[in-house]
Amino acid sequence: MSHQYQAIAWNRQKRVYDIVLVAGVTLYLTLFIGVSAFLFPYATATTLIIRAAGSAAFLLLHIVLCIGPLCRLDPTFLPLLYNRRHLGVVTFLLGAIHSAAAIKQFHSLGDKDPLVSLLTSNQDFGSLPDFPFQQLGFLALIILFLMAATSHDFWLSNLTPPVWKTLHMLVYVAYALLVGHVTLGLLQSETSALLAVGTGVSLLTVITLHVAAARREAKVDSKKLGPVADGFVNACAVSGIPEKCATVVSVNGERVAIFKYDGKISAISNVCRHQNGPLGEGKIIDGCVTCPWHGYQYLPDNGASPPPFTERVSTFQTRIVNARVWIDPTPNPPGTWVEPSPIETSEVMA
Amino acid sequence: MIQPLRKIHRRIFFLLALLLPALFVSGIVFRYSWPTVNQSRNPTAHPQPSGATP
Repeated sequence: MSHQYQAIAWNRQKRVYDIVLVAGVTLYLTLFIGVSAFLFPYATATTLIIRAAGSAAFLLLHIVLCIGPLCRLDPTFLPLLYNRRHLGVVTFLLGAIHSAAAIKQFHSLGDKDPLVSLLTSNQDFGSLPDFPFQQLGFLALIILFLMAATSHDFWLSNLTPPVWKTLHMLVYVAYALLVGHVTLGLLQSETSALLAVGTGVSLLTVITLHVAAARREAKVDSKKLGPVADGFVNACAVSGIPEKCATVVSVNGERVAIFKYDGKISAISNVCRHQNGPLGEGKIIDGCVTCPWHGYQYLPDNGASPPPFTERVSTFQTRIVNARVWIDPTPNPPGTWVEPSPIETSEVMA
Repeated sequence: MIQPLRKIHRRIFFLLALLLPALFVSGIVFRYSWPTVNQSRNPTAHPQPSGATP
């Protein structure tokens, strides 16, 4: 967590994640280059590197973009989210190798500077089949670089989570540019139906998963809460909250996680201070609400991380009436202690 | 704090969900040659050696 600076807080899960990642990418590149060299014996080494690194980066970006919605739809995929930033950095590195090899092959033999050649050699913006697709890839690479360079928690902390999140939403712009790069580049010169179908299916998969996850999220936000009494709103049934877990409700446009633990109820903001992860989808471990994304922890009664950590989230007043949880929609300042509402035995059974 | 970001995310993605398939289909429809099940004919990918029969 955040009480002192560490370049990388390595743990077993991170090591396993990165070993699998590096092994997977190495295997892909080796197989791609090996099979391509066999099928196309006249292809140059640079051509093989361009294609292997480019296709690996494009595939990896699809995986990166699918992890978020998959985790919203099924918590089984949460372990993939843990080090998703490492996937993003590897995607940038593969894209950089692809670009360097392409610039060497197509732009380094003339009189012009290779970068000037890349940006000016084709300006046929009015034609789809002849569109300057390399410029699209170059712009996408700049975005991926910005994201990779700011992927460390140092930047997350200095830029603040909202700014950092906004910056990293540029991944969708990069994705759009790369779909254009592939469609107007590779798919114009390559006549294999397999490539066109593969690209189309990948695009459809990313869109379908995001739309499905968005529909699921919208359901939570649009769910009507019960009546208001004495400033409190009727949020949910006590029996509907699993032990040491939460029910998430949307109050005044913000989500609140209502936790049940050790015969008590507490409510805190659903938004983790680290990367805005959904605290309500985490569990109470060792007495602390634990974010499912990266394991940041908060005490359920005051929303503060246990010492020496300093993160704090908002808390909410709760009360239990007739086996229903009522919450005050006005959040307390982050870290404010709130008396947990005790659950009577009869209410648990209700 | 999180809701404005969610809204931006939703809007960006619904825009892309419309634009990207349109770009992809346009790119395929307006290409000079249609996709085939044959091997690649891209001359830069595996150029024929001099004297070889295509």
